[in-house]
Amino acid sequence: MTQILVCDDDKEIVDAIEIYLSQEGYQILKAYDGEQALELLGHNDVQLLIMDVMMPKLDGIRATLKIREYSSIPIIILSAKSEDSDKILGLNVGADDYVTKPFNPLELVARVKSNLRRYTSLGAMNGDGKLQYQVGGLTINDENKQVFVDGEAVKLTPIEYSILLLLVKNLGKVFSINEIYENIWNEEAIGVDNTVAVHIRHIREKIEINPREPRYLKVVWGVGYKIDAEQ
Amino acid sequence: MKKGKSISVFRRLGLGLVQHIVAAIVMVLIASVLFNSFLTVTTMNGPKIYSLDPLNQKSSFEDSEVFRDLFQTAVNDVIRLGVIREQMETNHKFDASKVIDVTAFMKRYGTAGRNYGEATAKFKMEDLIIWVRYGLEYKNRTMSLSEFVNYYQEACIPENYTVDDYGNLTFTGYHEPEEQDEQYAQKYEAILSKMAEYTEAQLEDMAFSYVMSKTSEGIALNKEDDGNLTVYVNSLVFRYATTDHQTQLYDLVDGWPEFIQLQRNIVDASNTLAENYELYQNCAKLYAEGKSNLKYVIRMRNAEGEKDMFSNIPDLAELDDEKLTEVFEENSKYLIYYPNSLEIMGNEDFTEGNVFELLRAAHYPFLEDVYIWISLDTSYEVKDDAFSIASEMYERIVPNTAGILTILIALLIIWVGIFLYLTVTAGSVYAEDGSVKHYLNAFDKIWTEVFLCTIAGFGYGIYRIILYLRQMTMTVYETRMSLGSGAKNVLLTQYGLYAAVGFWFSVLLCLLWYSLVRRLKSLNAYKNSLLRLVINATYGAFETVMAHQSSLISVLLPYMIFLMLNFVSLIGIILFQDPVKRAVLLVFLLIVDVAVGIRLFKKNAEFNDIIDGINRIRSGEVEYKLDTGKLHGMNKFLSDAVNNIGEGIDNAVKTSVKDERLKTDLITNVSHDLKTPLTSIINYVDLLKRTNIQDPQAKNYVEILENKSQRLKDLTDDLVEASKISSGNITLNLEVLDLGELLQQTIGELSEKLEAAKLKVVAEIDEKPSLIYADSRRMWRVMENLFNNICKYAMEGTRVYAEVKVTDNAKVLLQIKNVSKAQMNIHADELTERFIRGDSSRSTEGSGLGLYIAKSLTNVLGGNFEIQLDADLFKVNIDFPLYQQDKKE
Repeated sequence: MTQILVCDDDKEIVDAIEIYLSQEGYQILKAYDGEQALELLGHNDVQLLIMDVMMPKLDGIRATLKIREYSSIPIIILSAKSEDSDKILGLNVGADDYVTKPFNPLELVARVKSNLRRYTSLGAMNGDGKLQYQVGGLTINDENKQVFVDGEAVKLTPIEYSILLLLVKNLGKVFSINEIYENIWNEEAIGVDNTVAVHIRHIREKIEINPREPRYLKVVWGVGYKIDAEQ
Repeated sequence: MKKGKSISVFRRLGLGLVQHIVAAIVMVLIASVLFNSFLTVTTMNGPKIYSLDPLNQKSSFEDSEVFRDLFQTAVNDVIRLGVIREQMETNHKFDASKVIDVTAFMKRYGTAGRNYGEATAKFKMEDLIIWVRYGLEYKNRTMSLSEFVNYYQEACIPENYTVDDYGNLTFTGYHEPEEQDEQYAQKYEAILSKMAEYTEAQLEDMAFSYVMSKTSEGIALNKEDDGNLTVYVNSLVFRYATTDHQTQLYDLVDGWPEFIQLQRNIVDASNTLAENYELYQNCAKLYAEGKSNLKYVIRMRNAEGEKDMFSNIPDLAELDDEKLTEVFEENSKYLIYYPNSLEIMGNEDFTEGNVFELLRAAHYPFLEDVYIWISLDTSYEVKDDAFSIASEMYERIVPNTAGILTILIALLIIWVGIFLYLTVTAGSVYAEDGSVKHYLNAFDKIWTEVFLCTIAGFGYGIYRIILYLRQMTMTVYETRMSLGSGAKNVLLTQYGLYAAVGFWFSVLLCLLWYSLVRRLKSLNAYKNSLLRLVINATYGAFETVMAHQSSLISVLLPYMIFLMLNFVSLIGIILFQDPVKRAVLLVFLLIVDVAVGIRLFKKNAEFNDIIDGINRIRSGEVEYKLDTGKLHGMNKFLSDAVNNIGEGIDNAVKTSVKDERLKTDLITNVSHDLKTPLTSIINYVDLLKRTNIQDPQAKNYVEILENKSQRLKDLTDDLVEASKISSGNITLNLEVLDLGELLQQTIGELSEKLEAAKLKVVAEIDEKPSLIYADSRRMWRVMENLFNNICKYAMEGTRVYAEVKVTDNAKVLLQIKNVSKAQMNIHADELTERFIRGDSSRSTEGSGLGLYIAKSLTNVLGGNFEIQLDADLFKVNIDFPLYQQDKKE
């Protein structure tokens, strides 16, 4: 039984999260401030922590720092602070994911699942064959043209697969629309065509939890697309 | 350490009083020295005054300068007296009826070597003396021309003439005729031949003209109208007959020359006698037997050529030379003169030359026959003569003087000491905390100029008082002189006057001096001065004129004055003849012109500074301040105004920035607070949706709730974004990006949405790379907002035209055109205002901030954002400067 600790000073939000996660079969521990969360963590076997930043007594950032002193469990920060700087701070102190309020419940559930899979069972997927590429939770098996995100298979069309493979093979390199077109279709790009952009969007919808904030296939606006090597 | 410099007021006053009393005493002492430092003695020539130098006195009277001078005077007197006695006495008695042969008298006593002629007349001595007393009278006598020529000897001899450079004969004065020999003829050949050309009358005329020009000796020539010459001679009117009972002089003489000579002898002899008679009267009394401590014997030749002895002690005349010398040597001061000995016996500083001089001055002819014995009895048995009086006074004054002077100096030192002490401490008092304060009294606060005038007046007063004191001292002295004895009767009031003067001098001097010191110490000599008042007033007036708003006054008036100065100076330079005045004016003019030039230059420099300041403020350096301290007049005014404006702008900018920031903070915080309940709303709406709702109505409501809560979320995000952009509170990550690529990405990204809105996008992208330098994520935001806007408001089923173009003037242009769904009743500019939407009902979704954010971000990134409305055609133009790689690197 997977235990998830949810910590937020707003009781209704905690309750709502409990409802969603219970439906997925997780057992929920509830805390309403940082200290309470730390105490519960100390007495229970918790697999994942969802925590707000702005809380009484001990805020989420400090709590994360303390937890990271002895534990490496996945921490998802759930905050109304949506600035880039807030996100960077949260991830830097040791959080695994950052979800801004108001959040999409399905996205939160997906992220919880993703983090749990990576934390608990990802290691088993490794070492299948040589033609396998992995970036974070994204795994591409080129032998059987399969794509896994956090261990779950994703179905891609051949063109989508080719584009994803091209980007994964060249981690960090930014491909412009024309370059992708020339690489995939093997012909010169003539005129304006938004085919590539549409494909990219489709790929993102399939492999990303929130396509607007992609973890893998990133848009460099005005330049092109890329997949970054894991930090 | 400053404690010593301050004393109490009472101590001050006490010391001051002591000081003033000391001054009074000093003045009394000075008065006593002054009153007693004169000696008056009677000599043959009248009273003689000696001032005793109180600082340089020998203890003994006989060693003093006064004594020496007195003795010399006495010797002088005695020698003259001897000569005069010889003239006037017969058998050592005054003989009024002594017969004087004037020519013989003049030969004996007149100027040696001079020709006094042979003609003579004899008078009784008293007649001659009285004659002079009543005055000599003259009348004109006429002389014939022949007599005149005879008197002046031959005129027409060659010796009297020369031939001048022009060949004319000229009379050069009377000369003795020379012997007429060969040499003579040769010598005067030219003159003689020239003289032959003139008539006798012409030659005489020349001589006459010469004499006319040099009339002398009481002879006046006059040419009458008929051409005849008249000669007038001043001839003495006889008051007394001669001893021969002659009353007409020309009976005694032979011709005019003798007449004139004799007349002159009479006049000279009479005058000499009259003069000597006065002296005789004085001296005979002064040096008479028993009236003087001086005794003398003079032996000389009398008129008859016999040896005669003159003495004030008749007995001594009987003794022979050696005996006389013995007698005279007994006294402590003596002088014995033998004509044939080069040495003078005596213990005073006399030489043979001195005696010679004295005898010569007395016009005595037989110097080699004069023997003189003079001695002084220094026991001063005779009480009233000059020596005894002088000795008495001297002995009385001199020892006292030294003592008085010592006291005087001591008192002066005391006075100066107090003066210095009070000077150092003037104007300082202890404050209650023990510190020293400088104070001023009411007197110190009057204008410095008035104060200085007072000092000047004080100085003048002192000058007048000194004059008065001098006069008074002279009066004292004169009184004493007339008494003929020592100054025993100097009045107490006179000392009192000196004392009063000393006291008040000290009081006034200290009053003024301490005030001056206080003024200087408190540094308010200038502060309190009229000069400062006048300078300030002038400067104020000047400033007022210069800062005057009207250019007529601030520019034209000084300019007119400048022109007038130049004009007047130029006129002066032209008119003045005196080069000094010209030079002064020229220098003045130069100074004025150069000064005006410098002023104009400085003014212009100041003006440039102000312009520089304005430019800096204009270019955003609103904190810049002009240094108004070194500016003047209008410029100061101007720079103050500029500073004020700059300050205002600075404040406004600061306030506005601060306000925006506060607003952003507020909005950010509020949005955080909004988000938490919003999260619950969204979540529970979602949960509600998942429950099994049978009622389709309820399902519809939940749907609406979901939409609106979603919109609320977008609104809060946009709100934060918009406020951040408008407050400039965002950080930009600038990089090179391709606007064409961005357009393609955007269309691809939003393809579903566009399709859902039934819109077809027609894109046209320039073949040239449309590179710009911007923040890619913000640019995406701009594009997203624009296309979202299109999705919301474009007419369904229409085409959207998007074009990216690189223009010739190095710009990248993005133009998006679409047809609006609703009729637009709004101005294009208003569309980019905050919370403005095309439809005023606000019924459609969206925050109303989309276009505002797009425009603001574009501007922040350095681009232009423009919306054009043409009926239903909605056009957005965005342009950025083209990024040129070679230029950047």
